[in-house]
Amino acid sequence: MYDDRTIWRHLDGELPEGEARAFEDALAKDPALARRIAELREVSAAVRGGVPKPPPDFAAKVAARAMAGPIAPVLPLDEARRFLQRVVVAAAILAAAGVAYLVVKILPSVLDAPLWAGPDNILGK
Amino acid sequence: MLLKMSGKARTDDTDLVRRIRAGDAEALRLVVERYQERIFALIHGIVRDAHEVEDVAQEVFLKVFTRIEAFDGRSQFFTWLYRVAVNAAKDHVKKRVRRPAAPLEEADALPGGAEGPDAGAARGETARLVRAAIDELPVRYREVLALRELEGLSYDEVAQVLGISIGTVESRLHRARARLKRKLTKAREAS
Repeated sequence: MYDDRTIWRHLDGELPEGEARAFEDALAKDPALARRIAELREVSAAVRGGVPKPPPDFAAKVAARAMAGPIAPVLPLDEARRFLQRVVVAAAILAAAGVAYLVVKILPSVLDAPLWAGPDNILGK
Repeated sequence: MLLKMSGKARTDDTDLVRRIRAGDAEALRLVVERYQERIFALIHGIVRDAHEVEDVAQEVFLKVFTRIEAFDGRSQFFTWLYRVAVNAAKDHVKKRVRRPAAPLEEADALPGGAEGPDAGAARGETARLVRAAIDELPVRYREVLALRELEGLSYDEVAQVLGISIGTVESRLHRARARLKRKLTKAREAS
């Protein structure tokens, strides 16, 4: 009595030669085993079906993109939107950090400096 | 769609890889023509949405062009190419916001033969059930299934592509197929 694992190994061509021969012998005498193989083959055929074909101009399209120079990653729309959001957030954080620096480091010097002070005095040089 | 590389194909691959390293886009076009059907099948086996396959496949071949330096020649080119494709497909699955599944009827045409309409319908129903069951499999099962069933790779080749042991390949394959068979049996008993 063969289990499914062994039958799959046979169908996949992965049984060692001796075992494969014994399996073939058993198969010739056992219609129930043949029916089980047919069932598993049906699963296999269904897995293989329904595969989309590349469009006829696919290879030319890829080559043209490669020729077009630096290749931007192919991003699906949602991912591109998320990427853009991240860029905007990063830019906002950088801008906020810049403003904070100006407020903390430079503004007090400006406020403390006498009205007639030149730029060197204002920046504390 | 069995992939058994002849000696000539291997030689051609080596030559094409050399030309791609030199930035030859025509060599890339030849590689795409040689492998596009297999790469579409492999990506579809993992991504499971026919509408998304082309974008991912394009990404894979452009990576071949831009990252050919990462191919060190220790494995065969197709092993490396499949690894790039599997990783791109898995990344895509992780990142995507899932769209409604592709209509199944467009994927249901199995090779016919001289069978009557009832047998054909039953076969179509089996195909529909199995594909619905594949959609529910974890990606680690789908990838071994695609490499074995769609690409015809041996357990050893699947192990090389995925960087896992042969034993793991066999046990994932077995579990994936057992799930498919169970679903099929259950659905048949229910109908």
